[in-house]
Amino acid sequence: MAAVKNEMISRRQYFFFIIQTLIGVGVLTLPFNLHEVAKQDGWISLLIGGVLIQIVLFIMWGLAKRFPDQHLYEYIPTIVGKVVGGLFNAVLILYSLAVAAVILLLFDEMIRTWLLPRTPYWIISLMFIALGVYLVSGNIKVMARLYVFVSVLLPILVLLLLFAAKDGQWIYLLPIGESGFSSIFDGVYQSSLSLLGYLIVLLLFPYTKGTPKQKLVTITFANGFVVSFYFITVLLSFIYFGTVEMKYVSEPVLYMLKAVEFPIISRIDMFFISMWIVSVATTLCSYLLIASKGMSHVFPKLPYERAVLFIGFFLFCIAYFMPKDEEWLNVLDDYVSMAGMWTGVGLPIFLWLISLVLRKRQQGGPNYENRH
Amino acid sequence: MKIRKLLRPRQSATENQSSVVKEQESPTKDSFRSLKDNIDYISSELHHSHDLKVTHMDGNRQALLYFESLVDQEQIQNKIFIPLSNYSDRTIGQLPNRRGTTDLNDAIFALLSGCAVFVQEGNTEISVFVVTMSNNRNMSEPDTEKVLRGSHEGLVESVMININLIRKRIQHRDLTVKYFRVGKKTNTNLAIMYMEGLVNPDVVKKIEDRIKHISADTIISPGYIEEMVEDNSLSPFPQMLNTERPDRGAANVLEGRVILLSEGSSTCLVFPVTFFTFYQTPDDYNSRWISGTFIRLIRLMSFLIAIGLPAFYIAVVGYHFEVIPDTLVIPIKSSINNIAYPPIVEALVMVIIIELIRESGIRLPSPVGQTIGIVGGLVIGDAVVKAGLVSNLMVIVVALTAIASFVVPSNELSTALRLLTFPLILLASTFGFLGIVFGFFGLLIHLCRLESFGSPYFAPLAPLRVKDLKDTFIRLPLFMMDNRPKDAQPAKSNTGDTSREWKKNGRSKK
Repeated sequence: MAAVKNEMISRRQYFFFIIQTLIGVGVLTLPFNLHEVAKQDGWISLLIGGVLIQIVLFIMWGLAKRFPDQHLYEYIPTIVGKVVGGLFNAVLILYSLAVAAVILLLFDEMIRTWLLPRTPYWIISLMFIALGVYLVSGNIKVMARLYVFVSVLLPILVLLLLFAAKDGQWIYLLPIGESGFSSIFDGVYQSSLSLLGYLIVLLLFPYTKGTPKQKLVTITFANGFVVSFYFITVLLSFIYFGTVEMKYVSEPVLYMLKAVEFPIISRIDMFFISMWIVSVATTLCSYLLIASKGMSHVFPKLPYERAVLFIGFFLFCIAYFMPKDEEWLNVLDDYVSMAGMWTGVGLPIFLWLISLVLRKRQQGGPNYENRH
Repeated sequence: MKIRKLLRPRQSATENQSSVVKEQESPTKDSFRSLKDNIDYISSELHHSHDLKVTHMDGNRQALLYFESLVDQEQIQNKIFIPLSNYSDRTIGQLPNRRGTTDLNDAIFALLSGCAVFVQEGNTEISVFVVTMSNNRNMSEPDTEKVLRGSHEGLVESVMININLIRKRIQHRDLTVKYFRVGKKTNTNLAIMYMEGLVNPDVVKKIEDRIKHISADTIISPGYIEEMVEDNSLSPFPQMLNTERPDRGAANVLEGRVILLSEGSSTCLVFPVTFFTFYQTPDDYNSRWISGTFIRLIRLMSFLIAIGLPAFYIAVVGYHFEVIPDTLVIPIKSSINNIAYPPIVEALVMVIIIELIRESGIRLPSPVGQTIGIVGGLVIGDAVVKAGLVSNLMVIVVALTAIASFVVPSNELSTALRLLTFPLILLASTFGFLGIVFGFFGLLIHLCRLESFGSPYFAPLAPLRVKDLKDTFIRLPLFMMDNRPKDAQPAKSNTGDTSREWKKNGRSKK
C-alpha cells in the first residue's frame, strides 16, 4: 500500500497541487517563447496545446485508474517487469532532478537580472534548496496545505496584469492566423512544454480522497485553470506590446508591470517577482517530491527524510558545478524539455498501452474502504 | 529530524510504563499495632520536621498528627472535637467524615496534603480527616487580560476554585474533570477539563499519555508542563494557549478543546490551539460583530507589521530604492543620507533599545515604569535622531513595529513575533526582497508543518476551511456560527440552530 491513511489529501488540495506544480518559472517567458514561433497567433497554439494535454491527461487517468492505490513508481515494475521498471524509475528520478536543476538555474538567472545582480549563484541556490528540503520532508500533506495557501497569490498576479494591460490594443492580435498552420503547430510544441509536469498527477493520484471519476474532474479543472492562466498572461502581453515590440522583450510580463506606477509604490514588477518566487518554489518542491518519493521507493531502507536530504544535496551539487552561461542553459533547457516530452507524454501512453494489452491491474482490485 | 531524535533520548516502552510517577504508588507500608511504632515511623519518614504536631490524648493511647502549617485549627475543632463531644460514646476513629487506611505511606501522603491523621494503640486502622487550610486571593481580573465588557473574574491559584469557576459557567453533565499528580518531589495536582462528546477522544488520550510520562522532580507552573507535553519544542510559536480568564477557558471547552489547570498557578493551558486562537479575545464576542471584525482585522494586520515592516524598510532602502515613488524619494533620501551606519545596524540598535525599555519597565513599580518609558522612549528616541545615529524614519518604523507586536492579546505570541523580526531583518539586509520572501516562505512552511495535539496549527488557512474563516479574520454574528471550528477536531460540530427563528416566523411584529 502506497498511501497511508493520514497522508491523504483532499481533492481541493490535489487541484492546487497540480496548478502550483505547473505554474512556475515559465510564466515570465512563455509569451516571448510563443511569440518567437507563432507571432500574434501564439494564443491559438496555447489553446490547442491545452486540448492535446487534456487528451494525454485522459490517458494518464486511464492508467492511474487501473492502479487506484499505487503510485507511479510502484506500478511501473508491475507493468513492464522488474528490470525495465527499475530502469524507468531511475530515469524518472533523474528527469525530475534535471527539471529541478533547470528551474533552479533559470530562477538564479532571473534573480540576477532583476533583483540581485551581484549575489553569487550558489548562495541563492542553497537557500532555495534548504527551504525546499524543509518543506518536502514534511511530506505531502504539509505541502498540500501550503500550496493551497499560496495560491492566494495567483489571483493577485492576474489582477496586477489586468491593471497593467489596460492600455493594451486588441488590434495587435489581428490578423488572426497570419503565421500559418506550421508555425502555429510549432507553437503547440512550445506551449505544451510549459504544460508538462503532469507526473505529479500520477504520483498523487493514490494519495487523493475520492473516486477516480471525481479525481478526473479535478484534474480537468486544474488543466483548465493552468491553460487559462497562461492564456491570460499570453494574451495580455500580446495586446500590450504588439508584434513589433514583442521581439525585444524576453520577459514581457515584467516589462509590462514595470511601466505601471501606483501612488504609494512604483515598480510593481518587484512585487510581482516576489510573488512569482513563491510559484517557482512550489514547482521546485514538487519535483523534489517526485524525485524523493522515487528515491525512497527504489531504496526501501532509506527513510523518506533522508531521501529528501540526498536529493537536495545532489541538486545543490548540480547547481554548483553546472556552467552558468546562458547558451549552455538554453541547450540544457531544450534537452530537458525533450526528455519531458518523452517522460511526461510518451511514457504514460506507453505504460497505458502495455497495461491495456497485458491486462495488468492492481492485484486484489481497488481498495476503497480507506479512501473515505 | 535528527536533532529532535538526539534531543529526545530513546526509552523502551516498558521503561516508560514504570517511570509513571505517583506518590500514591510508592510501596505500601502496613501500619503497626503499636501506637509508638506508628508515630515513630511517620515522624522519622518526615525527618522529625518541627511543624509536625503530635497531640497525645487519652493517656498516650491515641494521638492526632498533623502539620500545623497546613491545617486549619478551626476545621480540626469543627470536624473532630465538636462531633466528638456530640457523640460522647464514640472514639475519634468512629466519627463520620473520616477515611480509614492501614497504609502508613498513604497516611504520610495525607499529612502532606493537609489532612489530620488519627492513630490508636492496638488498632492498625488509621483515620484521616481533611482539614486543609486554604488561603486564596480574590478572583480578581487578571492584569494581562483585561476586557472592557464582560466578566471580570480571574482564575486563582487553587485548582478546586478554578474548576468551580468553570463549572459555574458550564452547568452540563458532560463537563468532565480528570486529576493527575506530577513531579516526583512537588507532587503537583493537575486537572484537565473537557466536554465529553464534544472533545476529540484522541486529544484526551494524548494529553493523558503525555502527562503520565512526565518524570521530572519539579513541576511548579503550567510553563513546566507546557514544555513537556507540547508537540514541537523547537518552534518559536506557543502551541498551547495561556489564559487566566475563566470565561475564555469555558468558551474553549465548549469549542471541544481541553484545558489544563495546575495547583499553585492561576494560568490555565488550552489546547489544541491554532495560530488564530491567539488573536481572539473575549472582547470580540462582547462587542458588536462589526466592530469585533474590524478590531480583529487590525490585530491580524499587526502580525504582518510586527514581523515584516523593519525588514521591508531595510530591503527598500538598501536594495530596491526604485520602488519608492518619485515624490517620496527626496524626503527619504535626505533623512538617511547623513546617517553613518547601514540600515541594519540602525534597525538592530533601535529594536534592542525598545526591548531594553520594555524589559526594564516590566517589573518596576508603575510610577518608575512610566519614568523609564518617558526617558527611554521620548528622550532617547529624540536624542538618537538629533545625534545622527539613527534616521528618524527608522525610529518610526521600529516604534510602529513594537506597537504592532503588543497588539497581540497573548504575551507568548507577542514575544515570539518580536524574536522573528531579527532573522527577517538579517535576511532583508543580505538579500533584499528575495530574503524577505524566503523568510516568509520558511515561516509559512514551519506554520504548515506545526501541529498542536494533532490539529494543524495554521488552520483554517492551511489546510483551508472556508467555513471556519468566519471566526478567524472576521467575526460573523454569533447566530451564524452554527458549526464549531474544525481545528479542535470536535466530535460534534453543530452548535444549535440560529437562535433567531423569531424573526422568520413573524412573531416580532407583535
